[in-house]
Amino acid sequence: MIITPRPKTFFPLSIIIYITGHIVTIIHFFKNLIYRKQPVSKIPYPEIRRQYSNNFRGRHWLRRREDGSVACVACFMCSTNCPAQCIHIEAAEDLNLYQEKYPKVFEIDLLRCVYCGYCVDACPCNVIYMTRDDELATFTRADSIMTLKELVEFPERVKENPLGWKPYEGNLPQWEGIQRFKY
Amino acid sequence: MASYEFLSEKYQKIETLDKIPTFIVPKEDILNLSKELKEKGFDFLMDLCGVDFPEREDRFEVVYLFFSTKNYERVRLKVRTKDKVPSIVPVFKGADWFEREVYDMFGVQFEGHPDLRRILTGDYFKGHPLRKDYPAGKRWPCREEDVYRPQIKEEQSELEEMLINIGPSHPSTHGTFRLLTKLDGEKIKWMDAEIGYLHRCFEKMSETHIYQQVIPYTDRLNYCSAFLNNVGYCKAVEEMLGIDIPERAKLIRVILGELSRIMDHMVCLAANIVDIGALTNYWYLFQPREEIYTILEACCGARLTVSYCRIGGLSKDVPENFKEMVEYVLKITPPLLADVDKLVSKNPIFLKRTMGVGKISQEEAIAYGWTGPCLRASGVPYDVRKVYPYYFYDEFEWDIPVGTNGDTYDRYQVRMEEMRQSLKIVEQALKRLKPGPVVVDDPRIVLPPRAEVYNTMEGLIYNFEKVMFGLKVPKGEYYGFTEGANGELGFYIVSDGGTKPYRVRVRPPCFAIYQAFPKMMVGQMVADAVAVLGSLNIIAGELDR
Repeated sequence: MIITPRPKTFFPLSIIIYITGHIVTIIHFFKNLIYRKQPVSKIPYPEIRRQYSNNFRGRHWLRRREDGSVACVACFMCSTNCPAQCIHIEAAEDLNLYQEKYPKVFEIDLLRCVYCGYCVDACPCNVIYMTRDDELATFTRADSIMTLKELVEFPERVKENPLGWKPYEGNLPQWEGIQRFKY
Repeated sequence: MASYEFLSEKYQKIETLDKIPTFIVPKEDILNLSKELKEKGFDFLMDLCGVDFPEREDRFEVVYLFFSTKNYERVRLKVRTKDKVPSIVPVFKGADWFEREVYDMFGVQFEGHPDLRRILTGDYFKGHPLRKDYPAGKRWPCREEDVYRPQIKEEQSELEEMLINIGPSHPSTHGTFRLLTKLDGEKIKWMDAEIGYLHRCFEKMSETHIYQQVIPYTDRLNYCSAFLNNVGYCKAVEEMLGIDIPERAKLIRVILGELSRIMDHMVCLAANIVDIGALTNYWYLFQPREEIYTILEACCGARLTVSYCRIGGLSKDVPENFKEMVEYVLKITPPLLADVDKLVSKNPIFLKRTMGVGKISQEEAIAYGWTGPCLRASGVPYDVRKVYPYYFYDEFEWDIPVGTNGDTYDRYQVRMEEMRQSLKIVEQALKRLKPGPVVVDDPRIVLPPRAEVYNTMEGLIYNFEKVMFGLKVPKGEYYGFTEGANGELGFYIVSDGGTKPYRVRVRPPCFAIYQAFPKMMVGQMVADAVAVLGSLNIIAGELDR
């Protein structure tokens, strides 16, 4: 238990306090001016943009097969696992395709989405990913509903390494002394 | 010496999952029993909530959780009723808003309550939302004429009296809540708080989602330290399931949790000091906060609403450079805290604005149900991490900072010291961090790893089962509590053995703290109200849920 300090107001001392305060701010000023090594939390957006990590949960992206069709099999797992119920899927049948079931309509309402990444975790086919795109402002509400056509493209704004939150790839490594679960 | 033994002679004791002694008492006795419990040492009303069982004849259950600050014992009383319960406000002042909430949400009448009004919803609202027969999607429009306007008697006064609104959107309230204030000159003569502007039906929505899906909702409770809410909820469910998560997951929870606590205190202090008039500290305090957000974003992909915990561990392992990032925060934070200390702690203007302002005594703070830094500033060394240690908190070396007077200055000092202690904990936890799994290896609780989903039939079945049905939690009730940034954050979960919680009740620390605020401020200057409100750190997301 630590009793927190409680100073008494004392006039001659207070001048020293004012001077120390000024010294602190002046030191910060010169450090920022000369060394520029102080961590500065301000970023002059949009000239400089924050570099997000490779786990960033931004706008969604759907993987395509080699022939260009979307790899989704319309199993509804992502829309079931979505806490915000923002994914709308309509399945259809196509006998020409490799997989018979495919999503005729796949819409994500980005205004409802809470960007929790649960859809990515649920997908059994590794189709849905999240990108590092975080600039999602639109002019109308209707624009914020992403259709299948938009979802299969990478976002234009993030050029390099656009993928963010990925499904848990894991082989759980065999940690020493830890028994894996047996089915 | 607190003792509940006398209860077991007369009343039926029931078993619960959390091993807190629970008694069912008739509703006529509750006022006398609470009086008796208070005399025997249970001086703290931790929680008061309602549960609805429509199939029973006495459908409502009002649950009282008493706590003793002397020997840290807990006892729970349950009252079953159809409509009416005697109010315990004459004994416990802190029951005031809790009873109003039960009245609002369930329609239970509390006889003898001084001011039984709706609290989270408004007068325009028909029906009681947490009853099981109330549909979750039903809404009521709020029109301008429905706004709460109090009836105040005109009093004779020499000065001109003025009724002003502080809030709902006011720069000093740091959230949306409304304070109706009657001023006599610069002095506050009467004050009333109206909350519920940010009510998002957390408790109702939890009942319609599976256990894992509640986690994103908990982010939005105390959004300044979202990770701590994740931990609080997941820990409660994990203890209901009776599972022990891996050591690495626990340590990461400790590290990120303590960093979140630092962040929360930083927001509180920075905003509070800005309200008083010192702007420079704001940037000194927000620099490490940005760095901590960067760590959280590297771990889980979001800066504010993290959703990083899962029931059974964490959603992903931390990145490879996690250690360096945390060490960097540990390096830059203490000098900046020292700078704030130099600028503010002995500054005569700051001292005059804070010393003796918003003072609350130990007894008052306990009576209102305060927890966390605000209670410790009054001199009560109660911290959940010390008293009921979880996640190795008993193995780390750290102290509880305790104030002496309970005024705004003490709350500032307690928060400053708590940040230093949290840094100490992070440093020790980082040393213990070893590679290993971060989730329990049990597909009945967490999603199986990808390789098993693709390569084994069972893995795929478990993946589908976990997503479509969720995990099953044994039947019973559990009150799990952790130390949130503002105090004891409790999750009272009632399970009916299914995959969705029957009832999730959050015990928000802000709620108890804020109910004392209007009563504290009567007779004070209106400028002090701003200083005190900042130091209490009321987060609207947690207050209104």
